[in-house]
Amino acid sequence: MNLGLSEERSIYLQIGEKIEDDILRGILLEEERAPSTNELARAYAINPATAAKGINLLVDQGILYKKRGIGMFVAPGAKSQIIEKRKSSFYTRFVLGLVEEARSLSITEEELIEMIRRAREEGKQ
Amino acid sequence: MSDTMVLSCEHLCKEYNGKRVLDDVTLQLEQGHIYGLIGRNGAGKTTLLSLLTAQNPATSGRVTLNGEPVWENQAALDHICFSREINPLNTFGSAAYKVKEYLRIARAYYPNWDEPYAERLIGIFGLDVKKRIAKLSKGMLSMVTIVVALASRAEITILDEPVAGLDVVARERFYQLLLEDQMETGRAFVISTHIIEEAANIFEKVILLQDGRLRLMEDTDELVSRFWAVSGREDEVDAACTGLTVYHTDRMGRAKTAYVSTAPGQNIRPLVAGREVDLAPLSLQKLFVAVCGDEAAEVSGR
Amino acid sequence: MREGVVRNLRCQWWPLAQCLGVAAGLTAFLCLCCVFCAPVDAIPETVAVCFGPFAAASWLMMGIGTSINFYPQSAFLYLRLGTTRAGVFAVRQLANLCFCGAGALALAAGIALTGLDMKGLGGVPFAFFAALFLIDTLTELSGLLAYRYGKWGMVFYALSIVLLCAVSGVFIGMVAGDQRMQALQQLARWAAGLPLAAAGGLMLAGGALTAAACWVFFRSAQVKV
Repeated sequence: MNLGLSEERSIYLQIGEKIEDDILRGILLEEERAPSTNELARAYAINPATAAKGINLLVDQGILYKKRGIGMFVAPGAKSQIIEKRKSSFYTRFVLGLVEEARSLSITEEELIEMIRRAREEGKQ
Repeated sequence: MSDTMVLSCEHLCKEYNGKRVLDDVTLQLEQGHIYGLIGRNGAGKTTLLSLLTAQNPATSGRVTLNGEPVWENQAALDHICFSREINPLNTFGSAAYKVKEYLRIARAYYPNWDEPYAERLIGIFGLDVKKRIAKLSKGMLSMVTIVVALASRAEITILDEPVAGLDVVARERFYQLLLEDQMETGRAFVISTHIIEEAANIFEKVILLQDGRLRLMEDTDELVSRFWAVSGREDEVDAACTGLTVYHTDRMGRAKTAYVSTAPGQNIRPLVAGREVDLAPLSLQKLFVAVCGDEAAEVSGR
Repeated sequence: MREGVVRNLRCQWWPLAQCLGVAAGLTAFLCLCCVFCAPVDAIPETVAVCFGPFAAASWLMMGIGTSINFYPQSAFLYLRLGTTRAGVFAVRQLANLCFCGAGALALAAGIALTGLDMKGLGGVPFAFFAALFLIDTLTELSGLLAYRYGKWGMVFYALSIVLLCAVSGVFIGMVAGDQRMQALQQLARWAAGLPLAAAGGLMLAGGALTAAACWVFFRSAQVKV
């Protein structure tokens, strides 16, 4: 398993994100069983309580749901929900930083938009 | 005894030869959690642990297990295991025993001792039980300590520097065994260690001891999310850090980095908004060095 | 208190058993040596006479050997494994008393074997019991002081060993020498009677005091690294 946990961010958030990544990539399908707390703790060598915190966060957001006695499952519509969530945090995570950096380099708005257009063009090829 | 064991101490103080080694320590250790105890050499970690386990008497303060004092209380001590480094140089001491004999004595004193588990661990670590303790290498001594701690199946198990002398592979094995055990039995583990970063992921809560005082005790995740390195130009950094607790600063020319913490639950971004500074999160090890690095220099909110 | 005692009984019975075993073995070994040194036509009689003193000597040596190591080697190890000082101490005294009692019994058997009239000699095993108890507690204390006070404790410890070895040596030497029969009889005659009981009583009291001193030092001693 990908053991690339950063030491510098909350582990439980990273666990949550990894599960979300797996859902987006189709590694975890909707209505499939998500890894249990213990499985995650074992795989990443982390405290099970931390793993539980990460999972519970996803449950609270409705991305996972709990089937009593069996475990955690990926909720229907989880994939689109995650995309929506990341779309709205896209602004804070990427755009703000981009604009700030551009500002400190004195890149104008036109230059910035031109760069974005170019990147999208190159991406299509 | 009730379902969850809680080992707690209140206003614990210890003096050796007039010197105050532990000062007013109050904390609670609950079954079901893994605690990390960190602090510099001489901060009082081993002293605290030996007091919590009634090996040594406190100068003042109380240590209780579910409300019952632990001092000279066998019923309480049956639920606690303190596994610490064995000193092989102690010519008259336990160094004369063979590992086999040592484990045999341990078995007699821990009522929940799990012999099959102990044998499995001996196999995993490749320990030669016929060897004398005095002849063991540092790594093997650590392994004996670990075997005793894990096989004791004590509800509250404390390990003092269990990974000293172990190579990386053995250390990883230990962390795995620890997690497996905890998931299976719901014991409380308290690990005192200097190798902070490796162990940070398995600690649910961190206890930081500095100069005999309890500096902080928090969830690892929350603690790590509170600490930041703020860097940029001197004046911008200083302005950004108003109202924040600053532990340490590094300077190079006009560049400055301040290691700060916010209050619990406080978000740092609004506080530094508008300032030309870079924010970087800190790992547990880095924040430990920032907090305990300069013993003298502590500046709060400039 | 009770649980502490129970826990320690579980652990300390084995060292006691070993100790008794070695003492008995040593006695047997010495008797065997005696067989080879004795005049061929008087083997049974020689062994019978030597058994008592040999038992006494063996018990003395084993007693000293285990007592001096008890605190440095075992007691603090037990504390580290999570038990009470009261439990460790109480069971230790019990074990010691058992050990000394066994020694006294062995000596009594030895005297009976010699065929000497038991009537006047009843006090001898008792005196031996008391003496052994006193010696054991003294060596326990010196071992404890050695652990606690390091250098000066070590000096005390070394001097005690020398002293006690000398005493044992003299005793064994006397027994092994030709004078054994006469010396024994003289000792026995002198020893029989009231003064012996009194001496025994005094020694027991001394032993109890020393044990109490051990407790005073032990209860607040720190478990070292």
